[in-house]
Amino acid sequence: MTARILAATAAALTIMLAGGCGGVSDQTYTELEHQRDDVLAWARELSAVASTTLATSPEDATEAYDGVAQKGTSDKYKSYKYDVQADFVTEHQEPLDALRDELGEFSPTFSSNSLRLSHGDLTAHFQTYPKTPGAVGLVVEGPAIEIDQEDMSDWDGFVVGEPVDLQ
Amino acid sequence: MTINISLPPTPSETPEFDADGEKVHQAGTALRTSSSIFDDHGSFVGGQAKDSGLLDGEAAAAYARALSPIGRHADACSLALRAAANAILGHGDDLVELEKRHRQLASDREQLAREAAALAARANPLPTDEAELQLLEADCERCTSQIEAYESDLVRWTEDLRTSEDKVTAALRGAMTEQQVDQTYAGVADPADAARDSMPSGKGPKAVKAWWDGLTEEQRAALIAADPEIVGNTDGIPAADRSAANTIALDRDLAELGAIPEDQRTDDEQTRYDNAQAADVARDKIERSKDPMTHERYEAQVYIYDPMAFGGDGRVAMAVGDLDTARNVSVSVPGLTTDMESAQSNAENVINLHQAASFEGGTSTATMFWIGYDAPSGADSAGVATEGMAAAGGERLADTLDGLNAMRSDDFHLTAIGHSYGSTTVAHAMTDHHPGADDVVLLGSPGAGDDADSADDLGVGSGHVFVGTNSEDLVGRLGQTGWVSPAAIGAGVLTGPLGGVVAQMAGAGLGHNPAEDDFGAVRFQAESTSRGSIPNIDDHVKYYDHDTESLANMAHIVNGQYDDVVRAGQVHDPWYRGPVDPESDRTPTSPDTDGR
Amino acid sequence: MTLHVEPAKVRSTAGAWDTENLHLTAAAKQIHGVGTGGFTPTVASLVGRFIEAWEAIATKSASSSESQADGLRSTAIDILRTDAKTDFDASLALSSIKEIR
Repeated sequence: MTARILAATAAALTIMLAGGCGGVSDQTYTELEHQRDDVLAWARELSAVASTTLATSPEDATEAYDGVAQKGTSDKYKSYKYDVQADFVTEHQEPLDALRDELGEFSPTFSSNSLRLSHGDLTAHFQTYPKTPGAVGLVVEGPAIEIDQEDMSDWDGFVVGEPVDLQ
Repeated sequence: MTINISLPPTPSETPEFDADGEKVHQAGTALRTSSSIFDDHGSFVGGQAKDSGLLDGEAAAAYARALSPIGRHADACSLALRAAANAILGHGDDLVELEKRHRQLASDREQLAREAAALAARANPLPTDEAELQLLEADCERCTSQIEAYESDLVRWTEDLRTSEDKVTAALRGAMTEQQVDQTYAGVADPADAARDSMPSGKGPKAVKAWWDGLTEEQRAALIAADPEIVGNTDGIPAADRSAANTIALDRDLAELGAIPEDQRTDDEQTRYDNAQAADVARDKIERSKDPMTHERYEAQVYIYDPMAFGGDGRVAMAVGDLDTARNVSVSVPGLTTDMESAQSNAENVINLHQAASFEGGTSTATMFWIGYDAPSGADSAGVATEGMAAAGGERLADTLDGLNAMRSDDFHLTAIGHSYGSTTVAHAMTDHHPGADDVVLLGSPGAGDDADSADDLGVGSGHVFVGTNSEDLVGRLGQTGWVSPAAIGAGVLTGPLGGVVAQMAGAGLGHNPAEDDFGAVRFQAESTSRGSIPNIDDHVKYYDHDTESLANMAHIVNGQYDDVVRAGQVHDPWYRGPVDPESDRTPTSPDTDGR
Repeated sequence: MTLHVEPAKVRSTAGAWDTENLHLTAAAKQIHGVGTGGFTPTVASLVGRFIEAWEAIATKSASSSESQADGLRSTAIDILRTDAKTDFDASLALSSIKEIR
């Protein structure tokens, strides 16, 4: 048996173990799963950097497949992107500057209250809040994946704002 | 002269306290929803269940005999669980308050302990200078009296916590077994019954508000749990109470219908479940969003929840923020192809608007989306999008706006916003019914309705009718201008789902183009940096996007910051050629609306 | 001969009892999911016991509904079986009473 066949068998097994795809096609299922894995992995990396740089740890981390309206054709959501959100509370006076220095490899750019990052087709931003000094938000997300709305809600892996472990 | 220095005592430790009032509130909400299921069960046993289909005397009598204790027990369970749930909800409110006071106590204690230690250091050794000694004495007395105040606050806090704990434990202990439940509650009249009977029928929202205010707290709580569909959707009842009722109805639908295997659901059950899920996702989306200035997580208020309205299209309205207290309130009305399943994208619009309003300086805002009329959608869209549905929708919208005004006794600022066909609906509400809105915003409007010849006809003063139309928004070009209607341009040349809808609007003749100079409204800048080069549908759906001119200007209007609204040149229609839009030559900008 | 049962009515009422069973089971599940995490330790253990007790009460009410549904169907079937010995309509009606949920 070649390595490729072994890999394919392992992937198929993973899908079966994951509890089924509902109405989601295999290709879309794989895409959704990959996005979740990629976003989660990067979110954990960013969270680790933020924890060290800001001398704190993530709070209220949640994950979701968030609907993105295909506004040109319908108000109904037919595209979804996976995202992870988390908060940090720090005593650091200039948290975004400090994070920029540590995250140079992800092409950081500033907008008024946030630091934007990119990693392949994934994007992220750290945000500060003028009326709550010390609070720093993190959002990491993937690109929108087109999928039938009903298939998505039937899919076992569909999550909306559920806690996720970033440690 | 003798000076006695009494050093202040070390303040007592603030006790550990990690209760979470919000979580307790969630527990109470879940139990109240379950009490509502028992309530429905009692109604079933006392109603539909009686009609067994058994005609045989003995068997029918035996069946009927069995029903009575079941119904009685179900009603008792409903009352007992509701009472426990309400006690837990009250305890949750207490804990939220106690958490705040605990934070204050902990901070006071830390500061006082620091001050006491500093005074002890100043007193060792004692200063020899008399003036310094007097100052030390005064400082010690002041600190001691502050510590005494802290100690009495701490005692009061501890007592209040114990009182609240005692109250909730007593309520729970009284309903731990079925025997207790039947002993205490069987045969007891539901306070909701008398309250329901006294409800004014066929009267306006002001009469409803007066009735609601006249009920006891117990009656209001009972009605919310027993009749969530009525309380949740009756204009004049305060938004927080409506939301509590609609939360019960929504959570009950999710729980009950989710428990029925999908292949066993009837069509109606499936429709109800789909609509409930859509509302749930919209609610989650709001509650996962944050204010870009304060970092506070948003709270959703479910103002309307009626999943089987309009033949299953459903009605839902949800607000970001508190409709009962916000200084600035907006109501966003969507357009064609909207039904309850569009709740999520509409939630995104009002989240964006709230965030932009906050970013632009608004500190007390509620932004609500309103899917409250039968907009042409789904199969309907195959028909003609005539003005009739907008006129009927306008009447319903006016009822909602009247309801908001009736439930508030203060002078708040209300903005009605309509997008696309929804702008025609808003215009009809304003022109035909004159509800008390302060400002009107028409976005991507295909026409302000046949009843409005000019902005003045909308009844808020032409300076308070604002129009946002992207120069390449195809729908924004469909309204009548001058003596030639460009409507026909849209008809017949578009394909695809929304193209067909545009063609219908084009053919419908939805009134005057409000962006034209003759109409006399205030047009604000609403171009997009990704604007197309020819009229198109993509530019019709960007008005609520972050970092757009339109969202920034809408935020200013919602905040009442009229001087900050950036005006745009109006469309004019010379006799010798077609309509001219000066905005098409301007380079669009991208103002920051959320700090991201 | 007149039937002693309205089969359509029995079917729909028994089906409604089945639905009550599902609804009350949903209530039991919802009660089970209530967390005690936000309460103070003084109250949390009592809340835990309360939740346990009420999950059992809801489950019992659900079972009772299911019994009503089954009992109604079986009573109707017993009557129709007796009638079917002499009545062809009753034997036809017999086949229409079955559990859907």
